[in-house]
Amino acid sequence: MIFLKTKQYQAIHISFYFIDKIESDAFLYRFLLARILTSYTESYMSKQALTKKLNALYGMFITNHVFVLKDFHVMRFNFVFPNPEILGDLEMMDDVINIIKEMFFNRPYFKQSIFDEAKRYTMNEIESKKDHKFAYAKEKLLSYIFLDHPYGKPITGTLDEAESVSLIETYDYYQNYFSNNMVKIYVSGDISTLLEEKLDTLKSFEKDSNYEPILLDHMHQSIQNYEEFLPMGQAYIFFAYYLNIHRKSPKYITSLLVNMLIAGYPESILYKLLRETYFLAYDVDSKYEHERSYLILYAGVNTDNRKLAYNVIIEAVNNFIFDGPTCEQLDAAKDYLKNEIFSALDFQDSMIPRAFTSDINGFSESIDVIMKKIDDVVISDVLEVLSMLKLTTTYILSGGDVYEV
Amino acid sequence: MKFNDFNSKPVKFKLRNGLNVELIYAPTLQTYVEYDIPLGSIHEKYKYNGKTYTLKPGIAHFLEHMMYMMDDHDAFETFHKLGVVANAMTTYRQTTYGIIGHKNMLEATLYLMNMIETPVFTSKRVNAEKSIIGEEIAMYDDEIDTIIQKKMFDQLIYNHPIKHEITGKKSDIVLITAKDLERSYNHFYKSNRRQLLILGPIDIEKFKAALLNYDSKIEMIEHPIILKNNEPSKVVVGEKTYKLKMSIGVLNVGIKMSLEQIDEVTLFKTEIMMLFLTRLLFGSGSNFHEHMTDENLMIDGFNFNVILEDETLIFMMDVETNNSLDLKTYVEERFFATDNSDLNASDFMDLKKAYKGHFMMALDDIENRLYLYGKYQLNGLSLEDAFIVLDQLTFDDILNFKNKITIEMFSYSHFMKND
Repeated sequence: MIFLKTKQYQAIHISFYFIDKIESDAFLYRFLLARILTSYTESYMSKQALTKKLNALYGMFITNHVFVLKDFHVMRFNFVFPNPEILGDLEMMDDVINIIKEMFFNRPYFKQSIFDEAKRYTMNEIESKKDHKFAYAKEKLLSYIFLDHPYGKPITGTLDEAESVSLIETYDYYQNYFSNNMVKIYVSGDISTLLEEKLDTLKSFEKDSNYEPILLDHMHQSIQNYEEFLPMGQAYIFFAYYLNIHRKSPKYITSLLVNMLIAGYPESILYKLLRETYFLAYDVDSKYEHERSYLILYAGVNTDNRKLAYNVIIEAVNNFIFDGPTCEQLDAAKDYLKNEIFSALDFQDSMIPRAFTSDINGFSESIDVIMKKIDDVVISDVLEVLSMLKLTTTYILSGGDVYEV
Repeated sequence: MKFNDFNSKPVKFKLRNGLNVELIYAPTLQTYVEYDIPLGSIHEKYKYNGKTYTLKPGIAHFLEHMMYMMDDHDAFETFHKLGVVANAMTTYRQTTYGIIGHKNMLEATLYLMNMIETPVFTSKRVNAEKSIIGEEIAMYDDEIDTIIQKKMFDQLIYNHPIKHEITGKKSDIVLITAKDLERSYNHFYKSNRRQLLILGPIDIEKFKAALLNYDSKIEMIEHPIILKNNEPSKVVVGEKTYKLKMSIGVLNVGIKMSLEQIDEVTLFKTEIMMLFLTRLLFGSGSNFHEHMTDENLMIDGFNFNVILEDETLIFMMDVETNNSLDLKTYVEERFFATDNSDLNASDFMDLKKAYKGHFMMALDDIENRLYLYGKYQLNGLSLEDAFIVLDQLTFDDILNFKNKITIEMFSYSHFMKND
């Protein structure tokens, strides 16, 4: 259990991470569980009763985030409430701790009505994906990049799986798999000794485990181009570049700068080109997901301009891979990256995910070391990382040629 | 429960050019600068020097885009050279320009002030920016949530500027000219109500001295008189069904009310009364939610949204459902049930605790805290005043408020799958 102490905030965050090896067959169960577990407890037997109790606890709220990270499937549950010491109500901690214990551990057989509701909700999530076009496009892109690898499978599971899943199976998964997950617990906020003593009772729920790493085996042999049409006025254009750089690698910081330089901020080459030279796009972005070894570029343009934008992007990135940035461009990207890091450190929500990511990567660096590494990056480092980019997949979701805006 | 906005008292002063400045020391890693212009999308008609003017829809947002264009360069370039991050946003009642960074903050602040005092509105640039804003609007228009909201605006609103969205519609922005921008700039960007807020680990005296010595190009003017929007109190359409290409149906419930008083305390109190009332009746802690979920009439919970910036209150709550028509009947029945059996003082007190907790926690986000502080202040209310209004809210307030809402104020949109 890790305490991240700071006097800067008025809220306490408690995060429980349940970590298992990544197995796509389990995605649906875990998605369902995230909803079922947070819907009721033994003391508050319905969603209504639990909501009322959370209101009485000064609006404590619980968020859940289900995601894959490297070789793991992770379920994060975050409990957020005002610091009981500021409220002068330390006793509320007993209620908070009790809710957490009953939510995850030694649960009796799930209520049928709650399971049915979670199942309906999940099926609706899956069926309505096309209604949320950007999220849909991102999911399709991942399926095209990663093919049969679990990264390519929707985190919700499939509709077929959701239609056929039963309460018995789900509870069985909870008892025999989820309950054996690795568990990590983090707390952030202004944590006094008294508060820490109370929270110590949760320590016994932590659990360690060793999982065998899995191998990424998803590289296309040649570039794959996909295009799909939905009724929409825009075209979402994605380019996925394979870039395999480990978090511990000396090139890692350079890869973040490469991401910035290409489309990661308003001075990036694609942002300036698409938005300020061609006036084609409002939204241009890129993200380097080092856990999945991919750098993904995105631009949202008018559906009529998608071919022009596609060609502009291809040409600009190819030229950039060859030429690299100027010193001035690199310096501006360094400043931007530093600002992103400092801003995140001013933000309580980022404290626990940062600590968790460091833990899972088995790698932690002080802020001073990170800043020095950024300062030390030179043009030749950037060119080296740029030369490692390999375009594997492009995907366009658009209104096509016939959609009337 | 104690309210705490900032640990250090803000240092307040006014520049000769009318800019209201507040410097707030805070031990953060970054410094946060916010420059607020009291012009938002809701402002449509105003009086200045005895003459009445009309603002075209989307013009506040358009100005926000244009201000980064300098004579011979893009202001973003300079901000990035200085190593700071610049951003801006337009809301219903203000336009906010921000910078965040850890170095060169005084220089960047002075540059931000200079940028805001340097309008460059040529027809060529205005036309180019129309394409970019057009893409921004298209991006929102592709989202189903935007469609649902827009349809309800059409059902509730005759001509109130909320209807045009903050960005304006594509058809609105094509009408905006360089001359329009220039006039709006002259009447609002020199207002004596604009403000500059700076929070961070700053040398207060150094900042104060530099700002007081700032050589401004602007001569302050009195803030224009914003004229009332003559929006009828009745809804446009009481109920409408739409067939869309979507996977799950949606019910959207709208309420429109006209307020007699529009002081800030009344606006804030009315907004939270509406949210309290609807959450108590239809939120996830209500009997209604429990019952409707069990009956499979709602997929998940309602999303609640109140817009209250002047005398016109617009409320919306939407939920995914495959049986919108039945659900609407239940909503209406429950709202107008005369016994009020779903409203009780104990649930009200718990909900009030939750709101107070959320108010407190929302301030943990430094950027949000500064924004809320600036927003309330611009409108003559402090964060502490807002907290007191919340603290003094009673269960009777909610019951009395409910009695003011009549069935004619409701409008329903049914979104159904177009198979």
